[in-house]
Amino acid sequence: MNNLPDEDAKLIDFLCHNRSIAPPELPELEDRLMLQIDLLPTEKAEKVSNPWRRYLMGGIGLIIAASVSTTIFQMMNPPEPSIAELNQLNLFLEAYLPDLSNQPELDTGDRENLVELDPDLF
Amino acid sequence: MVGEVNDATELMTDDLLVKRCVAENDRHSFRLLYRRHQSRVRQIIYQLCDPISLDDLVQEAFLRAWKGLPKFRQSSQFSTWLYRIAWNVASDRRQTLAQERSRLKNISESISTQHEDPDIIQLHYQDLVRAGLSLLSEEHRSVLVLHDLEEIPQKEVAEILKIPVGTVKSRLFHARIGMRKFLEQAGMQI
Repeated sequence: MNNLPDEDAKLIDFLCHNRSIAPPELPELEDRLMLQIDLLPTEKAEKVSNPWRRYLMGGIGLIIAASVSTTIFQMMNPPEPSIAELNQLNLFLEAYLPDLSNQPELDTGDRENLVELDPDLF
Repeated sequence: MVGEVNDATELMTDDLLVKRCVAENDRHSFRLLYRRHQSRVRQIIYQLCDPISLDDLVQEAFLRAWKGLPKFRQSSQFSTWLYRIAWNVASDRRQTLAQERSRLKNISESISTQHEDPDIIQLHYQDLVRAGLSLLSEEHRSVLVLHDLEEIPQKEVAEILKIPVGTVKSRLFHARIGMRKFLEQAGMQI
């Protein structure tokens, strides 16, 4: 309260001198307050005292959300085969699939003309 | 039966005690905070709304403080935050109290400064101050009580009331004018 006008200083001094003093508290007020606190639900205290639980649940949620998002993204945007994979596919087609335009229709009973597929390719 | 508070806890700052309350649900630390601040809280509430059931209001203020501790951001002082709660409690109380204008009128008519016992004069002065405060608006009364009577710095008053410091200064100016006018009308020469 520095540099107060004289009038204000006198007024404040008068007010402070003659302000009402609060009556003293009841002796049992403190214990009454603590009892009220004891009666409050403890669920909130448990949540408050263990904030790491919230962080853990949040982290798990993030991981799940990221996994789902990644899966959906990959389903909508399937990766294109690499050049090596394409070459391997071409070799497979040339080696195991006959040129259908030059071949007669196969008799389902003519098993000798059937090409045995390499199971390792699958 | 009063609980025991060990010496080490009594030396802790408010911030440390608050952390213990929140992290460990430590009621002993909160009891110590209560003992440190209850007198000031009590005086603030009493001067803001002059209630009959002061004990209940003080208890309400500290209950709200306990419940709100987890949300208390220690960017400001605990006392500032606590006084804000006290102000809220007093404000809520004022809204339910009727203006005591008839009481003020009786006090004004009975005032006499001649041949009075000094103790009675003192009581009259206290009644005058209390009556004058009750006539002020809530905004003016708040700044006058917190700053002029409780000697809380203007910057902290601004935090408590969540108003700019400039607004505190302005309200103080008008509050003092209001009090001075009232006292002059009551025959006082300050």
